[in-house]
Amino acid sequence: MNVPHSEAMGVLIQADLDGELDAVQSADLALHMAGCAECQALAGQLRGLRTAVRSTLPRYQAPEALRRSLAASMAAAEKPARRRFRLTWAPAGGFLAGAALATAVALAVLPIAPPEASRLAGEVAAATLRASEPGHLLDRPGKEPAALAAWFQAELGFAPPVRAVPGFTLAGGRLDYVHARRTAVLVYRRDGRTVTLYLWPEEHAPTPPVSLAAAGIALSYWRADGVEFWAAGATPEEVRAFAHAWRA
Amino acid sequence: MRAAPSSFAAQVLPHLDAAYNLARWLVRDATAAEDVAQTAMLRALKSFSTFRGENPRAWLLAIVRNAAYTWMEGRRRDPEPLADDADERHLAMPDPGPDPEALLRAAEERAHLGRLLAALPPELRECLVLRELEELSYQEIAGITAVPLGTVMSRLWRARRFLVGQAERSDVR
Repeated sequence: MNVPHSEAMGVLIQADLDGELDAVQSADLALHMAGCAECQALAGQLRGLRTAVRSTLPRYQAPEALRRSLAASMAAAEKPARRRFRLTWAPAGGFLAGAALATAVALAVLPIAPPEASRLAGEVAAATLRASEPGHLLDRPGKEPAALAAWFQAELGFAPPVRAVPGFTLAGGRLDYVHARRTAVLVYRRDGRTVTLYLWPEEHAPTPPVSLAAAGIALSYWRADGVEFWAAGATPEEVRAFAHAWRA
Repeated sequence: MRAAPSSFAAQVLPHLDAAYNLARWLVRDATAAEDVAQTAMLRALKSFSTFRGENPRAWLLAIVRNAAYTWMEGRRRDPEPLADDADERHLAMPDPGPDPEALLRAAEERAHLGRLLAALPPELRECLVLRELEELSYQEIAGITAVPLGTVMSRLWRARRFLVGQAERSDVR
């Protein structure tokens, strides 16, 4: 039996081995370990395991066939992607074209936002702009919240809350990537404009809506019931109204 | 947006081996890993224009991980069960034994250690693979697996404790 005094101690020894402790923590641990045979033995076992894992387990290399087929896909993707993008500039209108230009150069984010929020804001704004290309807005049209929730559950393994929001018409859902995560997206309409809601599971405590903007897109994010919500729209007023109606 | 395809080649493509390695260790099948890695690379290519981070490898690996889990979800109903549901079993992990030399002997059995790692639930396996084979930091692993830092530490610890314990046990036999 060799588990040290507490699991916390084991995690600490492991963190030292992984180079994750700062100098002070590391010195404190060394001081303790000097007088503790149990911890010394555990450190020895963990070092042995590392040696064994790194010397025997393969780090697999991508097969040549995969490399070749990717090169072909990339070459094929290059031209259509550019052409399609250009087509969307003209009909996008003053607001969206200007916003897309802003994205191209830099993301203008309100200074109040912490770094994580500004990064997410940039991604949500970019996803919103991308979806404004023809045919990219919806993967699944639908006005029925329960059916959309079931579709997300099947696609993502996550059933987001889908609601009828007073004053806005539910148009459907799509899947997108935000922060390298597959994300549920709900699309609502009001007066011909679109308000998009991005949702993903988030364990942090609930927070009230925070308004910000990126690339000319108005945004508002909040957390509730284990979900993080990001609403995106044309004007701050509309996004605020949407957040308010959703939470009412 | 930026000239996505050429920057993709410069920033993301060099991490193809890392992508394939993670896929291979997660789905544990050469052909499936190739499919998963390809799916992930194409998704990455498609959404590269929105990528603004400084760590393309971690960004790519998060996409690979998602694709691998989607693949595993689809396999869950298949007749041959994968170890995905084995989390419970590992809650009752054996204590690591007292003899450090046993590990070195166990290390001589490449296949044995590989099998042990494969027996871990994917959530634990991926942490060990990312830490030991990709040599990523806790912070990077937390970002890729979308869990808090403390969860990464706990999963790594459980994975290692299991492997150390099993190595001891096989040595006794």
